[in-house]
Order: sequence, then C-alpha cells, then structure tokens
Amino acid sequence: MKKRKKQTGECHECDEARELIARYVGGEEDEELARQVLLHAQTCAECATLLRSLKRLVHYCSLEPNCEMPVAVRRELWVTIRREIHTD
Amino acid sequence: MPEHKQLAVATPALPVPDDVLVRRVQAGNTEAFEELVRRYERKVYNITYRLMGNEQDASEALQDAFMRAYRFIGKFQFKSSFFTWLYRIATNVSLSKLRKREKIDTVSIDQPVNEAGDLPFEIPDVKYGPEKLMKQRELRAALQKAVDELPEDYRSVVVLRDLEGLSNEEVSNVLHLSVAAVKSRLHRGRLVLREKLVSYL
Repeated sequence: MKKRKKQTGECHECDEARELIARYVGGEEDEELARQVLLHAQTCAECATLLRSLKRLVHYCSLEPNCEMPVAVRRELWVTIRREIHTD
Repeated sequence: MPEHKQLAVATPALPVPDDVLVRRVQAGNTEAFEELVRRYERKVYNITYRLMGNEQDASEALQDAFMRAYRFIGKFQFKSSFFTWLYRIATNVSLSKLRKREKIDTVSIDQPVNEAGDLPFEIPDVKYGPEKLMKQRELRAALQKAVDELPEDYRSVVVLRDLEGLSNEEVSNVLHLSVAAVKSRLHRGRLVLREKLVSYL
C-alpha cells in the first residue's frame, strides 16, 4: 500500500488505509488484507491509532448489554397486543 | 435377568419452532402470536430503542412493529426466517418514525454534553467499582448518543450488526441490501462513530 506522507511523516487522509482497516476490523478473513493493514499500522502512527480505536469500538459494542425493557413499556405493549388480536 | 424398569425421565419440552408458530397464527391461533411476542419482545425493544434513542419513541415503535407483524403475518411466505422479517418491520417502523420526528424537531432537546475528554477505554469486567461503573455509564450514554447522531443509513446497519450481533448476511436480509452495501455502510458508520467517540477509545 502506498502511503501519502506529509513532511511530518504522519499519514494524513489516507483513505485507502482507512478503508482497509475498517474491513479488517469488520472481521473479513483475508490474510493479505491483514498483512497489509498490520504492516501499514507499524509505520503509520495515525493509522495505528485508528486501528486500535476501531477494534475497541467494535469490541465495546459487542459487550453492550441489552437494554432493559421497562415494566411500563412491556405492560403497554401487551395491552396493545391483546386489544389488537382480540378485536379482529 | 429381570428386566429393568424404564425410568420415566422428564425431558424439557423443546420450544416450538418459529415457523410452526407462524403457521398457527396464520390459521387463526392468537396464542401462538402471543408466544412469538414473548420470544422477541426484548430483542425488538432493543432495536427500536437503539434506533429511536429514547424510551417513549421506542415503546411506540415496539407496539407498532408487533401490530404490523400481526396484521401482515398472513402474507408471510417463509422466504426468510420470521425474526428477519420481524426485525425488518421493527427497523422500518423505527426509521419511519425517526424521519417524522426529525421533520418536527427543529432543535434537539438533547444538546451534546461535553464530557471530560480523557476517559480511558474500559472493558467491563467483574470488578465493578463505582468509578468504573460511572465510566461505563458515561461511555454507554456517549455510544447511544453517537448512534443517535449517525445518518440513518449507517445507523440501522450499525445497530443491527454491532449492537444486536446479526451477521452481515442477516443484516442484508433485514434491510434488503446487498452484503457489499451492508459492509460498506458498516465501515463508514464505524468510522463516523469512532470520530464521535474518539476521546473514549
């Protein structure tokens, strides 16, 4: 992957890398993709940060517990359901 | 050798498959529909809550979704699984309400709260100290807020895939999108979310 480096050595607006990182984090099983992403992340601090934060985001989302359905919401649902199915 | 008496072992009854329940509903059995509601009410509430962002709207969308499911279950042709069909209804109902709400709300009553920016990312573990719980609560609230602010196309994909744990294929079935489109929206949605939550990550 060609990096577009600015004089500072940081990788700015590296759209291609961002796209590949997102695919990699999304769980695409592709060895070449993984190799490219990890190689790139080793040489680009900005993309390494992006990779790390996206992995954390996906991980956090996967741990997010179900919302508790409030009792009042459930009660209201069942009132509506029973009204609907018994007035057919 | 005396024959052993066969012991009567109580085996738990297997749950009736969704498809069987759907056929019963189509034949007029309302109790079968109630069983389907019991089976999916929490999952559907999760979807409506994630998409709508507040309890009141989520509750209305939840009721509408099940009412629509009941009214149209006669047309269900078993081309997809029941839950895919139900999730599609719940997603569509929520997005439709969302569009109406956005037309009405010119100013959001939930203004962004600028939290301290340097909270480290916390993975929940078994040692829930009050500080950790607080941070997780903050992160959870920030996540829901960030999801609320996602463009609609990204929001439904992120909710179903990342928060509800559906596979790319299931999301594509629910939303009537190609798997490639799901992946593309998911990637872009995650990038937007990451931008919004960068201080937590």
